[in-house]
Amino acid sequence: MKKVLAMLIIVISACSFIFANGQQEKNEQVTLSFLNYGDVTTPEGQASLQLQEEFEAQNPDIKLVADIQFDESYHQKLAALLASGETPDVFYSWGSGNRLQPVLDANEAIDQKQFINPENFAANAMIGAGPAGELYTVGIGVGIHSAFYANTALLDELGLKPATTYEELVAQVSVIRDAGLEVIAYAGGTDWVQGTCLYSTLLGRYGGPEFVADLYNNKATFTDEPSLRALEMIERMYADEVFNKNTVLADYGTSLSQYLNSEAPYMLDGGWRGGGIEDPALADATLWTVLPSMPGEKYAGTTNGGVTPGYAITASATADPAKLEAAKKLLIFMTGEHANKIRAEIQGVIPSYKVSGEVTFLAGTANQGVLANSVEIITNTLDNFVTGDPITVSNTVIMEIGLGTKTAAEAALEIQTAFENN
Amino acid sequence: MGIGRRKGDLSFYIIMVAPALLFFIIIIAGPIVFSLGLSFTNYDFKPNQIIEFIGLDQYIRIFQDNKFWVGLQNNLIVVAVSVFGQIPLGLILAYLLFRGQVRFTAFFQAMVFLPQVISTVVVGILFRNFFGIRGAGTAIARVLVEDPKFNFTWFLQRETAMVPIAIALLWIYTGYFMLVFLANMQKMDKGVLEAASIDGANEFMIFFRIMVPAMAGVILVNAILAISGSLKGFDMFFALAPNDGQGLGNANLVLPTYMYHYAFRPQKYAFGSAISVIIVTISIVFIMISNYVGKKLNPMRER
Repeated sequence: MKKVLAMLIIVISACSFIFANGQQEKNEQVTLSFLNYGDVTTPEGQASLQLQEEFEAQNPDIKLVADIQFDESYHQKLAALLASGETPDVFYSWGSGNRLQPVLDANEAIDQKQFINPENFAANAMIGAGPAGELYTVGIGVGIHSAFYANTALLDELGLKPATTYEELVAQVSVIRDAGLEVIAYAGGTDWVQGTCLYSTLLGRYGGPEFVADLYNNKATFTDEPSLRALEMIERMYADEVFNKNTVLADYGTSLSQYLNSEAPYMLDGGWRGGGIEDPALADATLWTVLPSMPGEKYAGTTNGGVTPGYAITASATADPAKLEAAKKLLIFMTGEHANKIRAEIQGVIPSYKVSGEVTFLAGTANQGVLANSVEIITNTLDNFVTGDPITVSNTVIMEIGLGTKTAAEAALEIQTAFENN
Repeated sequence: MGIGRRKGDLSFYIIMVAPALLFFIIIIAGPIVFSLGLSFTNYDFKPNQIIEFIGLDQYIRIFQDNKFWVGLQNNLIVVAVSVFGQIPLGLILAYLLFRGQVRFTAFFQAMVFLPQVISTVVVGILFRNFFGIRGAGTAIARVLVEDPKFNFTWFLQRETAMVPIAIALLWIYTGYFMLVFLANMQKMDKGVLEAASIDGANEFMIFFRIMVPAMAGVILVNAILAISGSLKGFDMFFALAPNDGQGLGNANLVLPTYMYHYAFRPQKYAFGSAISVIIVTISIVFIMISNYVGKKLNPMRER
């Protein structure tokens, strides 16, 4: 009997101890679930993790239940959380397109401008993709999605100057190829590069920002003249040997290797790629510019880009006032001045925030900001707003133009059909 | 034996089988049936989505999609390479090793089987890089053909896009079938082969007249394994072919990668279920054909 009583006292005491601790924790901390993004083996992931840890250290009253995922596993995790009702309070988010769709479907996408001071951010970072201009994510950077890199040292050796027009580029083709080099290091074998780094740029050149907007608002078609001219220009670039079959064989890693190893004097890639030019001599010799002016273009010197993904608070998190306050703190921290400076330093991302004072960019990436500031018009990249099959189809048919199995007209029709059926 | 003892045996059998049966129903049979049902709806597991029965619409969409037919054609190529490439090659290699036609048999046995112990994803990446523009294989080829601009262009045309896949499949899986055949050959009565040799049969005749008929059952089983493996294969195709297995202009699509890119990634799960039902149906048809052919060709069958 005594033993039973003693055991009972011990058990009750243990339970009291446990519950008392839980109660104390509940009084002191707000628990916030956070789905972060990044590959921790890369600068991007390291920056995300560093900022997350800094926030935790600075806010002991907030218990962050965080997970960091990357690429497809991130999207699958988010979809699973949304479907199961375990929506994160704050999450890394795309502002539009395919990647935002699951969040919209779950009614968790809300206007983030109510949580921040829009005056602190770059104007184009505050343009919302919602039907009434809702900003579904606070972007953590602005980016150029198509930059034309010229290795001036290699061009000097060949007796050439960086081409500023398409005609100049074509005139250089035979000289470059006779030297055993590719003309442009370009990942033609990777589907998304076609739409992001080439087709969207040419859409802007031939149609301008209004035409690009009209495309995804269903007021223009992909068989209209600007789009057709853009696809015909791609066709011509292959016919003129600016690109060739080797271009279509090059995957995303190969094109950078070609440029870094001086196997091509030019490279066409996103503005983020410049950070991969780590050799100081090559970085110094690289001219950052945009695609040369194209025959018949209407908007000279433009390129395409957009706001990067960022962070957002979900609709579910707004139900609890204490949780919402904590979420706002996290959102402002992850998108604020300090975070932007960290990302510029570690990743080379152009800040979306109007930072004060000096910004130290990752070596070799300051030029992206300089380029962005020098371009008068930056049009939207198509997949900033067009989602699903049309993007997949457009990327594939552009590749087929390079393979010679589709004409520009056939490609335009196929993209438009996919857009209508989406 | 009394009735009570038989009842006890029955209870015992049920108890022993029940866990595995339950596991099978929950993990394998149940999801298959669920997937079949899902394929007749529009349900993509989106929050607040209303499930609607849409009949055969998903299947009609699939059969009207040119990419599906590309994937099916490529899958048939893979099946052909597996059944008419890996198995005969494995059988021949096993015979050569079994009959001591080469020296250092243990070494060759290990080398042929070695690809089996390497991850198929690693093999896919290796092959892609080896034969890529900046790969070692391309560099060697440039020296051999004396053309510094030479590149392997098989991915550029639909007609040759599956060639590197076929090479990789032969390299990886031939060793497995070789080992299976070798193990069965070693169980054979060697007296039969010696008697045949004494009667003047050469190795060629022994192989075709004695060994192949003796291995008929094993060939059939291996064919079934090869067919089912070919139709569900994903990882190596994903790693080897450009654009995560799609190839250039979708030239390398097979049904599993078609399902991944056009159903799984855009989260169209009902569509994906329909594709998986088609894959299972094709597998069953092929296996039935294999069984039929095997029975017809089996010399031991009852006439």
